[in-house]
Amino acid sequence: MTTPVTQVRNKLADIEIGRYLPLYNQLTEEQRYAYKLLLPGLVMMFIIHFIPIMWGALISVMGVDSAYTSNWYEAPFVWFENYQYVLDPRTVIGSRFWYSIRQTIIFAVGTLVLTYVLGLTAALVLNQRFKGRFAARTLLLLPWVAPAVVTLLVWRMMLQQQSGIINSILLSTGIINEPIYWLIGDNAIWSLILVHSWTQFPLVMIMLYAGLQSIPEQLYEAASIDGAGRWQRFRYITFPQLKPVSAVVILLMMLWTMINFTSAFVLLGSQPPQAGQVSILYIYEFAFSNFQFGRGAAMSVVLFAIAMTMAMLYYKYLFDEDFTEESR
Amino acid sequence: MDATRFPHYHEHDNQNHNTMSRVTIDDLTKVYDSANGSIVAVDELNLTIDDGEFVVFVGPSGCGKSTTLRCIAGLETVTDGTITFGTKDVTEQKPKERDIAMVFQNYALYPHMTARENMAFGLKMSTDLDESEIDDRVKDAAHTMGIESLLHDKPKALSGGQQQRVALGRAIVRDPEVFLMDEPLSNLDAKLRAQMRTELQQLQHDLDVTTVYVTHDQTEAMTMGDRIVVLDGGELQQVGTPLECYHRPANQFVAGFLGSPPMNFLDVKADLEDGVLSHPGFALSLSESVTGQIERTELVLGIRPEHASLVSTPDAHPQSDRLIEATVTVTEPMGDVTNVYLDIGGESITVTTDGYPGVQADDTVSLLVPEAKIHLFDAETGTAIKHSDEPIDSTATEETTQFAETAGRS
Repeated sequence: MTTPVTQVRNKLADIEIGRYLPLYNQLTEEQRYAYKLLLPGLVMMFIIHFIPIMWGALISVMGVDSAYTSNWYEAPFVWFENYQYVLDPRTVIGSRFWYSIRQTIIFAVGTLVLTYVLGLTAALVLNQRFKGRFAARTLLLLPWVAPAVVTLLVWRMMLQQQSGIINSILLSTGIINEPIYWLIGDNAIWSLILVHSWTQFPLVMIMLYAGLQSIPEQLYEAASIDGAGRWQRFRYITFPQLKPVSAVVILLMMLWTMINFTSAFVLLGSQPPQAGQVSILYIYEFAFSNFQFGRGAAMSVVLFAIAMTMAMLYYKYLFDEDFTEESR
Repeated sequence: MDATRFPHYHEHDNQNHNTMSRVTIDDLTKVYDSANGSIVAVDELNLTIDDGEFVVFVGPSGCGKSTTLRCIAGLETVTDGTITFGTKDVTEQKPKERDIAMVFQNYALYPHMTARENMAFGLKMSTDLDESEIDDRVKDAAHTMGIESLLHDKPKALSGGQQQRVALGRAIVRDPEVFLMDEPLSNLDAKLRAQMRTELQQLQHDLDVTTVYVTHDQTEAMTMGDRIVVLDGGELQQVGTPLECYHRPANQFVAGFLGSPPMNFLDVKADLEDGVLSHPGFALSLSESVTGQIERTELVLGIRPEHASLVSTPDAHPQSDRLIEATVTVTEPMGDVTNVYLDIGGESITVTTDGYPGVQADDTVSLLVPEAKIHLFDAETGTAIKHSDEPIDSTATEETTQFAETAGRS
């Protein structure tokens, strides 16, 4: 009796993969098995990431605008005209785009520093033995686990100039005399960094915490016998031992922050102050409210290229040696 | 290995090093609190380790040897008692204030530092020597350990034996008052371990630094230490030279722990009037000098495998009435010797013979257990009553015993 499953399996077995993929014949049985296991993941990656990236790259060289919203494929190829247009700092569009890139980098670096400091501090605290550390760990994860929109809207309310609790506290304690415009004007970028870091630091914390847990206790014992004090043990044992996990965390935080849309959009709205208009918000506004899809796609590709370049430089110059050595 | 390569070690001697590095442990007690109640890891331990002495702590897992070492290092807090270095009470001091160096079982080298940085770290942290002085001392220590060519490598690039050398180098470069070693050789393969054993002994001899060495390996205990300290269940069982502990064990635990194959034990009843030890498989007459020491009737007879012998012509033997009949169960030829396992009245005992015992399984043999070589222990307390007469010092045959004073402790 052949079930449908076995019929499919037999059909699949009949396909000579080697005929279509000559490299397949060079793989060992074990490698073939590994690729088969990877296949579902690769297919998902292809559909969700690779196709849209390619599509975006294609649109970025086409004149897709309001006239071609339903039949983008009929739009003419304009090649690098879109890029010239959005990268020209003499135009309003171009200068605002460059400004948004600057704000994006401030956003990424600021978030990186703040999440790392907060995450490392929290991880070091959690790594101590104290009563209720498991409860504390769960609590500290909440900002990251809670739905982003909820967290962000609460922050948005708290940061309101007139009715927000933060200004209210600062005013009543006499730290400030005038209410601060947190979400409007130049402060917007700092508020964005603060709030985004709040939602992201638990991830850094939990990764560094795992890193701390993997440092052998004997290294600390050896160091204290060698005469190292508390700070020196941190400086010479903990910090270097966290380097591999820090490398990953920093890379991810940097890239994820550069392409983060949710925090900026929910906190600052669809009409953000210019200081808070990071590239991804600007691209969204430019492309979807002006129906300038070709030019928006060109901006996206530029942002993508900048992010990838930064990642590559970071990887190559800062962590290459230790990174590959540790993972060997 | 030549101590003259280490000029600064001699400076130390000039500073009246002698009284400085005597380690005195007074009533040391360490109690761990756990969810299931408290566990006494070390129970009122008393011990004095002389300057320059190599003392080996030995015992089974959980006997408290490592805990004691960690208390000396300052890595564990002490529940009760004091630890003194020379005249200085260090009980409450942090490890870095104690001027000690420690070698760990898994080396505990700093993975992100080169061998040189590993060795220099302690000097950098605890002294105000400048870079070039530190560098000189690291080079000296590396020379002593024969690892000059490895100084630029990180631990990951080194073999286990090389890592061990770097760890030892890291300890000696500090020129500490006390070396603490926690099973430093147990991660090495058998051949390298034997080599490092002699090398470590020689190194300790050359540097003349007080050393406390923890091991569960009785070969290391027997061969390396000036004195060995046998621990069990957190309690001191015996302190003595290796041969003292081997031939004059304070109690049945020490007797059974040292020696491979271990000492044979048989439960016997003493008939004091007739002077006979009786066992279901045999009866053994005792001379009056021995029966005079016996007060109880429930005893344990101990005989080391190498002290019992197989007699090939029992009828012609001068002590034929003392021979015990036994059945061979297994023979274990080791090359130089053969271990013969015998069955006596349902109990198994081991006899070590020369390489060619001429017997095989199921043979019936005659066993000679010389009175002079037997040990007797109180069956209830395990305290030693009689020892074998083996000399414990190459220069003296008289019984120079420390067991008498330690025997009562158990």
